Amino acid sequence: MAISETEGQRLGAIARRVRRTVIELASRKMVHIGAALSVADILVALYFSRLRVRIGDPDWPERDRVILSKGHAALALYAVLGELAMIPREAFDRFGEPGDILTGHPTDSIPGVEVATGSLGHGLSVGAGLALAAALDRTPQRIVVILGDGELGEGSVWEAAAFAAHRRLARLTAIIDRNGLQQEGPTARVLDLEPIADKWRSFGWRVIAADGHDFTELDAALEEALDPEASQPAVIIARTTKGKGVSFMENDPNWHMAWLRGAMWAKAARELQ
Amino acid sequence: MVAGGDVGEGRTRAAVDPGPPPFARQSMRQGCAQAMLEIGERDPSVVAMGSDGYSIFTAFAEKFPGRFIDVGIAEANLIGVAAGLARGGKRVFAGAIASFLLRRAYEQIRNDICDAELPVTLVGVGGGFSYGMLGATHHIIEDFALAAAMPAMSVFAPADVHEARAALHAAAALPGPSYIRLGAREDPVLHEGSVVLRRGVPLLLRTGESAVVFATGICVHEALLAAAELEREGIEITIASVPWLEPLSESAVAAIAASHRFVLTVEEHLSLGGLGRSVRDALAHRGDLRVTSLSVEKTTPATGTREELLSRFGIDSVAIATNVRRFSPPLRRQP
Repeated sequence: MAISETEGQRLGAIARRVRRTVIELASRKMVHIGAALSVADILVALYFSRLRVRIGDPDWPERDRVILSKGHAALALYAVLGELAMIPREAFDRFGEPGDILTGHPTDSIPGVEVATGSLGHGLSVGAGLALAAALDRTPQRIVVILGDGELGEGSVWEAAAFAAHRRLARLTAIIDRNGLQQEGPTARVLDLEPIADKWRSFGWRVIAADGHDFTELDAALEEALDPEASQPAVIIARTTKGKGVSFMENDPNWHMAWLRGAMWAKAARELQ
Repeated sequence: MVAGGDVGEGRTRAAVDPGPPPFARQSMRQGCAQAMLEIGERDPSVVAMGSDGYSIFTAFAEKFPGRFIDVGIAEANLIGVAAGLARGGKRVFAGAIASFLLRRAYEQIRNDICDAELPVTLVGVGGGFSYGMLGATHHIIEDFALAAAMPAMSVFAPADVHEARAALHAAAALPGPSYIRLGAREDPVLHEGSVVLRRGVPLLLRTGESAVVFATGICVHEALLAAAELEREGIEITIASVPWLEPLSESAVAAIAASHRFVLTVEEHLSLGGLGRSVRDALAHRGDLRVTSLSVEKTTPATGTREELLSRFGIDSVAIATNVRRFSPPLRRQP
């Protein structure tokens, strides 16, 4: 069932706050910004609608698990975990100062971060292991792993993809943040992996396409992916725009990693009001 | 103290070793298989995983089919899935051929297992030169260093089937990660029966006043062969097997060396990050001590049978006996 207009507006408002936090943090030091803006709506749709998590309780044993395998999008995850009262306000206030807990890539000592990531190609295997443990123990946890499209160049992703399908890990969902850009340019030019959907399908995954910035589409895709009756893992290929929400960053690989200062910061902040 | 010893060139194994004591032979894998059954029986959270070459888990898999996972030939995925299982509350034993397991999946071991201090035991089959003529791709003489460089990692290198079984049990009781190097084939049985390992504490196999030899893995057998030969010449040596290499108990090493002036270390491993370095660190306060370390020289890939390679690199019984003789004149001839 499609989400209501009010629900769409609620999620949209959270996503705007998340992006504002990302922009604010990006004004303090050099950070990965494009990917964080790209994945923000996916994280909001997950955490604020479909996943079982408890506000302010990152260690709740029955929570669903999210692994941000594209760890460089950390700022969006931190902003979401802040909205969920898992990461304390002071951590954001102190961002960029010595002793702050918020590292450039997620560290699992940060409340709400399940697995430390940063080197690409690790998350799907760890997610498969978590899904396998849940299956062995017959617990109802769902495991969601968020991958970048550039990350698909790592062979270990495909080792994990083959394994998860072979073991029928239906509690495992992968989401590909398909923004088409990696650090060095368009993925189609660097290492073209199209047809990506066919690759996953041929590995034995259920493949679902969605607009990664449309909450109605994202929610419908998540509902299908997390289907408790399913017998195979699912992958959502979410079409996204790198730098989404800030006009001058969108689709510009120069904003992969940057320090947002002065007039640029003011312009970005205005656009996200 | 000096490192590096006389490789005993010009002496053949047969000349110095006319009648070695007849040790029975048994694969370390059998000790592991037995330990896995015992550990699996005791702890229902134990899961075993394999990536090609994991016969140590065959008996476990037959007894607990739901708790054995074969990932196929995919070491990186093996380690990632092990990390996920451990995060999901399982105690994981992951087995593969040692050289592929550590070198192929090194980053996964560091980021996914060791940084999180997860209870995952990596069982590497065929460490050192034990695959012999299978070739250099199958040799691993840097695994102690690679594993010991990891956060929270304990490192084991059993010398026989009994030490292998004990190492599995010791690893199963640890809160964090561990690596166990096993041999590939039938190895000499050096202990009469079961042994129990304590954190970093060497096991004494024989005692003598002329020298103390700290050895690990297959080199413990070489040390015993050398001791038998030296005994005929009136030289009695202490032999300490070091199956628990990291963290090494410096106090235990110092206690064993306390009454000695000459220490020899022997390992089927590079000097870098190996037993010799750890023993010398433990004994650095002993200005009166001479320590010689026999280890594998870092060279281009070497090929040969295991015995040939032990001899070529001067870590066999001939080299051990030669180095002991240089510094330990026979007691009988002493005034």
